[in-house]
Amino acid sequence: MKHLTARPHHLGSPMGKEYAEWMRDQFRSWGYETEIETYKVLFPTPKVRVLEMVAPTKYKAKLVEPALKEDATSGQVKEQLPTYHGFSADGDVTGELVFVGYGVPSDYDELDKLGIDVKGKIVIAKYGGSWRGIKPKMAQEKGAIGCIIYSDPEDDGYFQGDVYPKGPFRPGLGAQRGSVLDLPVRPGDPLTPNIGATEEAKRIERAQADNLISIPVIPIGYEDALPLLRALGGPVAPEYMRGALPITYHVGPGPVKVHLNLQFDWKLVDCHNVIAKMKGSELPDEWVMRGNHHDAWVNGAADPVSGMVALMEEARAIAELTKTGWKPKRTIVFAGWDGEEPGLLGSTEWAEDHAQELQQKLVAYINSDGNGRGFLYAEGSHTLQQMVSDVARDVKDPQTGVSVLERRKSAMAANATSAKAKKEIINSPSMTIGALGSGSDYSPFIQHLGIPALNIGFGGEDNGGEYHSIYDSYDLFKRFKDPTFEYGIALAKTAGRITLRLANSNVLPFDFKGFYQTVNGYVNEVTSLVDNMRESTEVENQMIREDRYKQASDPKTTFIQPTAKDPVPHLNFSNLLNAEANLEKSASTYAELIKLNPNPNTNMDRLNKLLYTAEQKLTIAEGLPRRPWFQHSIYAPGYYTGYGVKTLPGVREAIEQRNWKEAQEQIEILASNLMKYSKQIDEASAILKMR
Amino acid sequence: MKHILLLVFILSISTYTFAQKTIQGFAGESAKAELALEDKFDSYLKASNLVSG
Ligand SMILES: [Zn+2]
Repeated sequence: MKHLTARPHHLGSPMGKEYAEWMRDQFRSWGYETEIETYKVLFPTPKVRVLEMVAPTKYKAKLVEPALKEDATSGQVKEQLPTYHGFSADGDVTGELVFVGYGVPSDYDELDKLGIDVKGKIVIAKYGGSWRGIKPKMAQEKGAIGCIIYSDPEDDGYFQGDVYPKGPFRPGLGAQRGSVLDLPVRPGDPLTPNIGATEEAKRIERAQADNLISIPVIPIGYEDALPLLRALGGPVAPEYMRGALPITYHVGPGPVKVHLNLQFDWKLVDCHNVIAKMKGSELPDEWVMRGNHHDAWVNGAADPVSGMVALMEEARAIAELTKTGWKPKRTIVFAGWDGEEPGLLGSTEWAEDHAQELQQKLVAYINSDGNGRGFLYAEGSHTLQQMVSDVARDVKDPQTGVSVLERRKSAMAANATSAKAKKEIINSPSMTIGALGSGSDYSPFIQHLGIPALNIGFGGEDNGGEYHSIYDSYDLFKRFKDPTFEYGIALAKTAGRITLRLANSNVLPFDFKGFYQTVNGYVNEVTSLVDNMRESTEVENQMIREDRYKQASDPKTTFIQPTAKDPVPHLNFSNLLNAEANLEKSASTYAELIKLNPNPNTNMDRLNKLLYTAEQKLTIAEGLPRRPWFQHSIYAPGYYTGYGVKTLPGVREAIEQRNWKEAQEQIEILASNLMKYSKQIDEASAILKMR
Repeated sequence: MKHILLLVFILSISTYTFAQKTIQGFAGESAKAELALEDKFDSYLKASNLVSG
């Protein structure tokens, strides 16, 4: 970590290239066949950044994170990217300011009730509540001309604990850089949708790109936000919108007027992915892949170097194992991705470029990103849940000595709200894993190509406010994150064992019963979602008809009556329920057969291929509505939540958006995918019956 | 020498626990071999490499 955080190394920087070459040389020295695969991607950095209050008083935002004598790398100003949002639009705008809370859809519903419209205005939203890119996307949809996102001290500043350098939390001018590429529509290079951004790739015009927003947006710290928010007039913000600044939060609009001028260079840069392979001894055309990104916004000790150094240590230890005569059955591929921060550029371009080969050969992709101290978290394909749980049972938690499985279960039970839930967690021999939304390099693998994927790491006891700032440094990491690097080792053990089991197993460790149970839970959620919406729509419409909301409001304040909504029809879930029943049968049959015959010896290649390509049956060739790049019918990031996952996304989002026709269409698509998926499991079972 | 004796002792304990563990994708002898391999993998990991890297 000392080496890889010594200098800033964002995408396109000289140090980014140097570090990629250093990693390549390390992998080579351990015996891996290693190449740097370079793509040409769009990466705008700022030429002009101006944010100023022009009325009722004047204030010019500093937009600079000060260097600290306690932090050795914080003064590397010349190499640091300034505080900005990757893929903000160019814009020179002046307008009245409106405070929109988190700036997510429900905040705009509240503002509607107050009679506040953001059309032609500049909005200021606080970080949190959703992925950052949703905020300018919503502002743009509502007609705003600019967007400011600030870190409220309540989020990761002094409200949470002492600020850096005394503690790890965000100081007043610390600002969270980050991408505002429309990731829930499509990650990757904006100019080369669905194809690798090679030198000669055919590029579309910037205006045609479907994942670029059209208004300027900038991140600021709370010291720069305070003068603006303090001067805002208009109604007092609803309680839930307020933060921890020493002011009464008003929503505006005005009398504050701000001028925001942002201009970018919109250049193409080289994006250097490090790809290291160790050929499998028996099944070289079946690959197990393990990746982490290497680019950072600045020095990036926690994000991403903490995960990257664990991955490299796994690679080194696996190479050591080969000196004892052992060789992996399957090919192991390690990846160090570039350009993750601006929008999963390196991994997406590589996955698009090698799509066919990956769908043929890749058994699973295992991702990590920043790693901290505390509890194991794991998200991914639920067919891998049991295997992850087995591994978690076999890795010791460095602080307590119990397994990382038991430590995680204890934390979950302690946080569970009901006695029943606590009991269930404690008494279960295994753990459940979450579903994948977006926010790191697993997305192109699982959500675009339908390849089983996992995202793992440790955290929960390493909170701070250094994220995407110049203070995410070795000095801060060493004091407040994982000082002894024992959780880096725990990550290497966990991810390493997962990689080794996938690479060595006779029959790949996919468990379809766990998948069935999870999908069953999701289906129950969406069916009850429809029922709940029907009931609440009926009551709401009655409240509106009978003027109940008006009667309940303070006549001395503005109140705009919400409008009545269309009643919720009954959707036909029968094909989906039948497909589910079918899946249950197929999954159970396979589980019984593999238990009886754990070491089959006929048709192994065919059997394994059926197992690892089954997930591809869950993809939709034409993709999800309005975002064709996302093809998985079970997992996707939410269109309006960003990183947050929406399971059964086609069905669930159509219901949430009250698009009943689309909901019914998506139910049929999902049912048909589950039928195809079950059929493939049945084919695998047929091989086991042949013995 | 003491260290070697201790190592043998630890290995024999862990071999004993292997017999009772099931791991997805492996059965019988192959499960034992896999767990032994993973323990060896663990023993190669060094925190100092994470610090310097
Ligand atoms: Zn990251």
